Amino acid sequence: MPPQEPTSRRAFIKTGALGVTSVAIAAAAGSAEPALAAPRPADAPLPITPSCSGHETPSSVEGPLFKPNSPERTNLVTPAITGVLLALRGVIYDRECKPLPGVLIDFWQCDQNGDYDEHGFSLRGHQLTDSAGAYRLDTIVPRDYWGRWGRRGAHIHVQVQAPNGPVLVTQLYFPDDTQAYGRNFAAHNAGDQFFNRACVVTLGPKQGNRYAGRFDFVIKTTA
Amino acid sequence: MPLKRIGALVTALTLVTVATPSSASTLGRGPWTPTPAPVEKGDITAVAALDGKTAWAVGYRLVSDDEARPIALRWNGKTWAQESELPRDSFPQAIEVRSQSDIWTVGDGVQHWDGKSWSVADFGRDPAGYFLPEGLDSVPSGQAWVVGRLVADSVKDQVPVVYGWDGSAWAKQALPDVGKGELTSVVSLAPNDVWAAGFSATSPQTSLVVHWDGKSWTRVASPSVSGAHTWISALHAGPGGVWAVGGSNAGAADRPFAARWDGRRWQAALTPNIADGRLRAVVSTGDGELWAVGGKGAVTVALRWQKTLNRWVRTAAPDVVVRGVAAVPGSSSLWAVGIAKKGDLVPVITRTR
Ligand SMILES: [Fe+2]
Repeated sequence: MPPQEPTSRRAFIKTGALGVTSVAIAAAAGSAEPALAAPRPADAPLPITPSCSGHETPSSVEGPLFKPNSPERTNLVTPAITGVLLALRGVIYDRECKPLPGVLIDFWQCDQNGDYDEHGFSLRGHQLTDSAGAYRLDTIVPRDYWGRWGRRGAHIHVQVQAPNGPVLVTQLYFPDDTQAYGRNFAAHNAGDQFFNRACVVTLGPKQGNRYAGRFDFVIKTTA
Repeated sequence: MPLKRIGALVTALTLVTVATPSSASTLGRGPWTPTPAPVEKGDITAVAALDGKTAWAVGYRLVSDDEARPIALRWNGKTWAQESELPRDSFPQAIEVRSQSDIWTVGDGVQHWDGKSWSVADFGRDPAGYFLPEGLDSVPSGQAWVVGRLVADSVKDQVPVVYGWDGSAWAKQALPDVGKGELTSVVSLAPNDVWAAGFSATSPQTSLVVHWDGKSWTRVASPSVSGAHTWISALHAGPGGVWAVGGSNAGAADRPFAARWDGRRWQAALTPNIADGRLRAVVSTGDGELWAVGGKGAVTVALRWQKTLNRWVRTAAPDVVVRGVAAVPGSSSLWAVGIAKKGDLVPVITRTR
């Protein structure tokens, strides 16, 4: 197998200690899913802003499929991409819970069939947070995948970097009750070696083929 | 097959007037007909044909959420059936059929079928990284080529690589310093005339073409789309020269990319601007028609080369997420394999007739 993010039952059991650590971090970060805000009229309901805990967002492995030079864009949904739509919104804070403008945030993920784009840049894009420290990503819920690059539950890769700050490399995951592609998210989350409750996106109720999601980052601004 | 061919054209034209009267730019959906795939869930990733009654397709079957089995399917002229299981974890991406007892596949590693069983080629361990093969080709004399990449930790560090088979062993080829990138495809016209292509991971990403003249590999200048990431995904020696197809991306959706070696230089060819219409395969049929097929996810694209117009023109595409395409030697027929656009990993095999 090539360099990858291996997930097999054996790998999962072996790294059981890592799983415990993740749970501990999740508890410490206090990132239990918050209550949902009232639905917005013209859109899928947007979950309420979780309050900033000041606890740094946990890092994860970069994996083997990051490509530099992704296009600058906030919308990754091109005609090829027809999965379950995800409008992901959030704010990037420093450890004092101050929103950070001008933070570079680079996303990459697979499509509705579990395909990463290795030749081109489909479902890859970077952006800078606005003056309120906010980012917006219009994308889809990725499918879990199994192939040459290993076997993983659904996740979105991300790199976050404040100007002149260190790079946070991590992955975002989906709640156990996410409905997409007929897949069992609870089972795939449970079997994923890197799954981390502290990095689960908060989703509003599914409306038609669309979710609104929320994830706020807390990052270091100096090394 | 002249009668069959006329029949197909008539069907296509009828559909244009009946089903898609407003779409003058395509020939309708007429020519593509699905054949039942003997796999309920999984993926069909590559196909190759010896003749109208003999073809192979490879991919994997999902036996359960915990078990994926790589498989080879065989077409007997009437139906597809599973012929064999490939070695575990081989995840085949491309196939080269030399005879029914001499088949190569590449995916995770390189595998060979001798008519009875599969064996795994030994490439040893390269200190530069894990060898991931992407494309292969052979010449009648038995020489074969596999191209791909060496991945140290990530595709961001990968470098192009070529291995040559002399009939008894694989040997890594000395390439010029082309930096980071990947070779996705190879076509061998003769033992001293081999092309390989892919992309160079510059900013922006550019097309990459290298050539073997029997003595050494050299980089040959190739066109890229200005201000866009460009890549080549397939090569083919066909009417009018050697063809390279792929895609480009300038920040929004992809668009098709094609280039041709006319004997003196590589030149970009005109393609229609189809959103997310990246090209994955270029093949020619026995009647001299040149096809380029591709797409991604919900978008499927098929183009035909119009020599008189000196451009690629859109034609009816199969209703499948295209993984692989093959021409049937001696006929006007094509196979296209992949997965359905609806449902979750439902394999599809379709052909023109
Ligand atoms: Fe991944």
